Amino acid sequence: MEFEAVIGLEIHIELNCPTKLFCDCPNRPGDEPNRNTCPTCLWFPGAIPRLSQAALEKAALLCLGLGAEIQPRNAFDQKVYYYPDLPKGYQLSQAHLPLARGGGIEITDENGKLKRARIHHVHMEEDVARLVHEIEGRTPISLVDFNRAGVPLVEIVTEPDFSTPHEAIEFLKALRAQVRYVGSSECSMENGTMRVDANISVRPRGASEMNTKVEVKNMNSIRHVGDAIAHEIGRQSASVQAGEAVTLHTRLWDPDKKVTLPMRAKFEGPCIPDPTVPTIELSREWIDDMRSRLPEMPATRAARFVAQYGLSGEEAAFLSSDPDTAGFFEALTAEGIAPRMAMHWLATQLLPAIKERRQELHNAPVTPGRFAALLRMLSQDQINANAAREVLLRLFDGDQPPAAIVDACGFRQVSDPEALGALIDKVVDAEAAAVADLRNGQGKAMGFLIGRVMQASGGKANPKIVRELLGKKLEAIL
Amino acid sequence: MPISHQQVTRVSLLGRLLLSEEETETMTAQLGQILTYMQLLDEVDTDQVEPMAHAVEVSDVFRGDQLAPSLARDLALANAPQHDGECYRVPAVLGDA
Repeated sequence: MEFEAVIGLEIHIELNCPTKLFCDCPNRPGDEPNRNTCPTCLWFPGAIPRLSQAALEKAALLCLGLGAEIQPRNAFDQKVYYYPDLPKGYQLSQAHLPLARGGGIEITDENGKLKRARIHHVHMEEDVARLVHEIEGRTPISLVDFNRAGVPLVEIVTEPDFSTPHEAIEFLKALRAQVRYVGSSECSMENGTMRVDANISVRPRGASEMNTKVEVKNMNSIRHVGDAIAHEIGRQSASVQAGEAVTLHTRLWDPDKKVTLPMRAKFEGPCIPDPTVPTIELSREWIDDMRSRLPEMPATRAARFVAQYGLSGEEAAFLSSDPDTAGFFEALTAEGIAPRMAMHWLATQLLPAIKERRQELHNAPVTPGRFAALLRMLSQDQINANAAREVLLRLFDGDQPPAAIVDACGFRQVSDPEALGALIDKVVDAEAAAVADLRNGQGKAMGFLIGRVMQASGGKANPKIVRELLGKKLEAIL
Repeated sequence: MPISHQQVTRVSLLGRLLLSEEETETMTAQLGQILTYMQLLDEVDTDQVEPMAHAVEVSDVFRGDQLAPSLARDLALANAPQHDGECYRVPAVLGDA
């Protein structure tokens, strides 16, 4: 029997506003344990949660970027469960009246066909405390850090619109790009600012009923989400094939063993309206004001890059997937660098060099101005590509202008016909055998001779002019 | 009966209340009586009434995003039955949240 999968995603995203969702503590969960707490986020009895306006605005921008419809009236509920990461016994979450409904993202399936993945709703909630499990002697204990308690989250719940790991990955990449564009979060799965749970079920191909789903958690990269979904589809297909029933439960992805393993069930209680946080009434004007703050979104920007700069769809999508990269690219073109050269050097040289140094493009020492100055020297044949690569690496070491580095290293390209002519004469005299090969019609001896001239110049000769002059010289003697 | 024996067992488990078989029977009967009484509300015609989201007629109470000093850590941990100077210590919980 052939199976197909039905996949839905639940994505938690940590908003990057300065304070927590309901109190004035810093929204910095990675600080030293329990440095960022107060009676509200330690959830002491009687503390009154007060909603952060910045969190609401960042959440609303995120929703509008996804084309979701902001609900004029939304409210918080108490989602009841018992666990040491939530000592007050309930999490404030928008279970009944979420911030936004609808929206979606266009993705391409494996065959390149466009497909819309729909969003069911987006709601706000507070994060819970972080638990660290340890063994003291022979006694297992848990340590609780409340820095993360009360950190503002949005949860995006999709419709079960995905049928392959590829589609889920495409969606997550596009989602990450969109959220970064609106500036609501860095969306890093590695750092935990984006967390993804996948709900997966399988059914015979072509069937319409939905079977029992399994929830898979604990993936810490987008690639792991794909791997976990692929593994879970295989596991469920095999068990259905063997005549076993799939039961509703939660599994954890084990990235080392590359399998999903069952997780102990956690009791979840009811959701009841919260009496402490007043309802949120959002006017048409407020929503329009938020919408007017939306930047140009990645898909629009990619289409503009194709039209304006003549890039391929793939190149444009690559550049526009990250707002910093797209901005850097446009800054280079504004400096007069040809779009294709800007794209090529950014993608193949600068970005890998920045990644290798664990830096970020927006605050790296290689600014668009310095990088453009370097590329300008390359396009004007003042240096060759090898030298440009070398100078780029040195741009990371200080703030010297590229021209100063070129001069200090003696990288300036020799284009003077007289100096190059002398070198060529010497090489042609010394390499009589290669010249003879050329005479016998062996064209590849030409490349060998150019290489010799380059070598004789210490790598500084302008290869274009060498080729031109050498051609003329050989024409004369052959 | 408006509430079943099974539902009472589940609710007591969620509330971490250990009820004997006899107590469960009593609770099922008593909760049933309360729910039966509350069913009076079903007689009210609510077709034209918008569902209530909140008991208080106040909305849009927001807080500007101004950082304020957090508690000193020793103060935050002061009431904990057990701590290690950095974190609260609690009995082990298996699995993950």
